[in-house]
Parts: sequence; structure tokens; C-alpha cells
Amino acid sequence: MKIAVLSTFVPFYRGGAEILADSVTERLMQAGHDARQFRLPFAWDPPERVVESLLAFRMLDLDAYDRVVAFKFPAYCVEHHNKVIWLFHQFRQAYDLWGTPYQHLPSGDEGARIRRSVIAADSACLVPAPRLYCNSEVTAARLETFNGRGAEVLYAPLVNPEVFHAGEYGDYIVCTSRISGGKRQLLLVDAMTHVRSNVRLVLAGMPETSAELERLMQRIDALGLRDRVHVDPRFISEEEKADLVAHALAVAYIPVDEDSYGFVTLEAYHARRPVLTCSDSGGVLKLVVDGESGYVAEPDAQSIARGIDHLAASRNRLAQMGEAGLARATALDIGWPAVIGKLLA
Amino acid sequence: MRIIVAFAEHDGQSGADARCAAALGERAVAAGHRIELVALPVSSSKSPQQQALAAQLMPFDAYGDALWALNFPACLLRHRRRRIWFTHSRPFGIDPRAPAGALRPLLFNGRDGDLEVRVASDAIAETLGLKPESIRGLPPVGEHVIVDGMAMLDDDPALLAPELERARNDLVAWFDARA
Repeated sequence: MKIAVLSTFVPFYRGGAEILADSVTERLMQAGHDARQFRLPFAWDPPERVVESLLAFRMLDLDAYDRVVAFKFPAYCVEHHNKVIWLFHQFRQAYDLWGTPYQHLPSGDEGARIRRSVIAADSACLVPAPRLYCNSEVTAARLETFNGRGAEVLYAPLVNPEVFHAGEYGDYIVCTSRISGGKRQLLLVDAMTHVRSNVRLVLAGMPETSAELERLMQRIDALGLRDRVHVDPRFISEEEKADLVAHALAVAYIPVDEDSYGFVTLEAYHARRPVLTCSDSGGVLKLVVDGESGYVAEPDAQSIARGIDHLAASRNRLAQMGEAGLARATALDIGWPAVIGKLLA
Repeated sequence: MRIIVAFAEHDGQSGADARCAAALGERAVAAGHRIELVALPVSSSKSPQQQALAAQLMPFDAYGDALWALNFPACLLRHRRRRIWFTHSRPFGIDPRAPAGALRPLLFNGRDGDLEVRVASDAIAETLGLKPESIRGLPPVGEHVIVDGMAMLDDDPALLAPELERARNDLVAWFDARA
């Protein structure tokens, strides 16, 4: 089968979604199909670009392909007779982020018009799609709430799970993630002022902006935590990340209402590490069960600090918790055979 | 420099332009640049005007230090530093029925006096109405060394502006009718 894999992307940046789209294409080819990936940019600044991008994707013609696989807005708006949508997320600024500080659309008539166009586009292109999967319960619930459409959950697997391995349990909690407000590294730093055990914090990942990094470093300095918090603000290769995780005490991942379970979580479990997360971290809670496969803290510094101290005092159970997390992932059928099977069905 | 190398892939066929883009990208990487190869899927069932419009709507101008385009409609992608190298025997590359010279106003928008575009043959130059002094022959792709060879074509936001506005309004009306 001739398959077009259509995704949006930010040129010169590779995040989880981009890596996943590459992997889908590669796995489809390994399954004997003629798969070709097209990556085109989507912009929302200035706001009128949202509608322009939407129109651009609507004007694409992929009839030369037997099937199209699309993941994100507005790529899934492309017209095609045999389209499979694996929804990573909608344009959230028009939905749950509307009316919040993360709206990023004008509040007046112009913003309302753009929002209306996005919702109408989803109603026309997403809701009637016969083959539609979501990457998490959170994405599916949002789709149900705002668009009245249910969808089966198809979890995204790790690209290279075999890279992640277990080493000796060290004396640090690691957070390997893009440094950004939504991932709340600042809150982890704040928590370190309340941690009583002799545990360090390692933050490794590319900052979203230089301002984010500056804010983080200023907070570390202001709290006098230079000797307890180490920041490695750059792109971390899979091998480097695997090594960091392999020797950590545990992994911290506390995003705000994450759509999916988070690759960071599954990477930790493959390395037999428990995960510290927060009660408002969204899809992460699908894998992290408090006391079984990690620690679920309240999203405040003192509660997170208690979680870090609890894990530090549970050294004899760390491997068991990591194993429990991996078993849960296996039970949820998170793997490439399930993904490719659904996308080709 | 961060350079986007863009080309159109016609009717699901990966052809000479894709190979040319890959070769160009390899040379640029060897010269110390970062490259992002981008293939635009286009179909000959769409009119050149539709293809041009779709390309104009893609927000490439938000990314990278330069954009190099190899064929139509990639040559119409918006970018503040756009360089065009027509490697195909026909500028449109996909539709021989397209009127000769139709691409010219889209590309140059009346500003061709101080512009240069590299071309692979005199025939393309003739179709585009390039001045003889603007025509430069190119060595084979594998031999081409990237230094400052390709001319820069400044982006013009007025390009296709009425069509963009009309299309945008049509789209909003279409979605509004279904909201």
C-alpha cells in the first residue's frame, strides 16, 4: 500500500511527536508498505496564520496515495478518501486553553473568529472521520467533551525502548524533559528547599526559550541550590538520557495536564525506576499509580518534597516499583504491533 | 546557517528534484550548515494557481535563516531569504498546459530588475523572461559547491494577497456554514 504520513513540524526542532512520526513511517515500511512522510509547518503567531495553515492543509492533494495517516491539527484536515487519524492533540488554544493564560489567541472578535474556524474545522474534518484514534484518555476525553466524538485510545510506544536499561540506583532525581513552564521544572526546584534527604535534582533538556532558562537559573541561585540542583540545558541524545535515567534514584515528571502518559514515564519504567508525578499531570496518571509504580504528589513544593523523601527512603522498593510500571504498560498493550495493526486496519 | 531545502513531489513520485535536494543538502551540511529537507506533496489534478496558493499559505517564513527552493510551487514558499534554483526542464514542472510565462509574475511581481534566479537551461530562462546577464549555467548537482551561488529573492507579502484574502474568507464562510 502507498501511504502518506502527514505531520506538522517546527523546522530544526525534533520533539516527541516528530520522532514518533518518523518511527511510524519507518515501521510502516518495515511492514512492507511504500510509506512516505510529509512534514509541513503550522504557525499560530500572528493568529491569522492559524486559518492560513488550515487552508494550506485543506488544499493539499494526496490522492496519489492509498492511505493517509495524520496526527495533529491541521494536518488531519487534509481531504482524502482513506484517512486514518491518530490524534496527538487538537489545537488546544481553541478549546480547554481558551480563556486561560495559555490561550495565545486574541480575546476580541478576531480571536473568537479564529476559534470558531478551528472548532468548525474539527467538526467537519475530525468528528466524521471513520478511523480515529487518540493517543491517551485525556485527548479522547477532551474530544468527547468539546466535539461530542468518542475515540479508541491507541497508546504511543517508545521509539527505542531497548536503549533504556537499569543501572545502580544513584543519589539524584532526574527530569529529562524540555525546560518549559508547562513541564514545571521551577516547581521541582522549589521543592528541593523542603527536601530533607540527601538527594540531588538533575534537570536535563533543551529550554523552550532563553527566558525560561534564565528564570530557572535565577530561582536556583535565589534559593541557594547550586550545589543540589544541576541543569544541563541542551538537547540530550537518547543514549545520554538512557544513561542519566539508568543511574538515577527515580524520575520526576510533573507536567501540567499532559495529554499522553509521557515518554519520560515509560523510559523510567524500562530503566526500572519509579516516577514522581503530580495529581494534575493528566495522562501520566494512567501509568503512575501512587505507591505501586511511583509517587503522586499534590502540585505544591512541600508535597513534591515529601514524595522525593519517600522515594529516597524506599530504596529497597525502587526496582519493584519500576517493574510494576512496566507491567502496567504491557497490560495496556503499548507497543508497535498494536499501533501498526490499527493504522493499517 | 539553518537552511530549508524545499521541493515539490509530484503525484506521489519521488524523482530528480528529490535527489537534487538531497545532494544539495549533503553539500550544505558538509559546508557546516544545518539543513531541513522539505517535500511538498502536489498533484497535477490541481491547477497551478491552487498549488501556488497552497504554497503561499505555508508558514515557512517563521523558520530558518534561508529557504532554497528547487521547483514549482516550492519556489513560492514565503521566506525572508529565498533562493531559487530551477533544476527542472520546465519551470512548472508538472503541467505542460500551463501558459508560458504564467509563473513569471508570481515569482517576480514586477521586481525582476534586481533579481537573479539560477536556472538549469536557457529554455527556462526564456520562459521566465530572464535577462541574459541573469542566466548562469550550473554544473551537475554532484559537482556544485555551495558558497553563495544562488540568488536571493526577497519575499513580497503583497504576492497573491487578493487571492489569499478571498480564499481565507471562503474558508471561514465554509466552516461557519457547518458550525
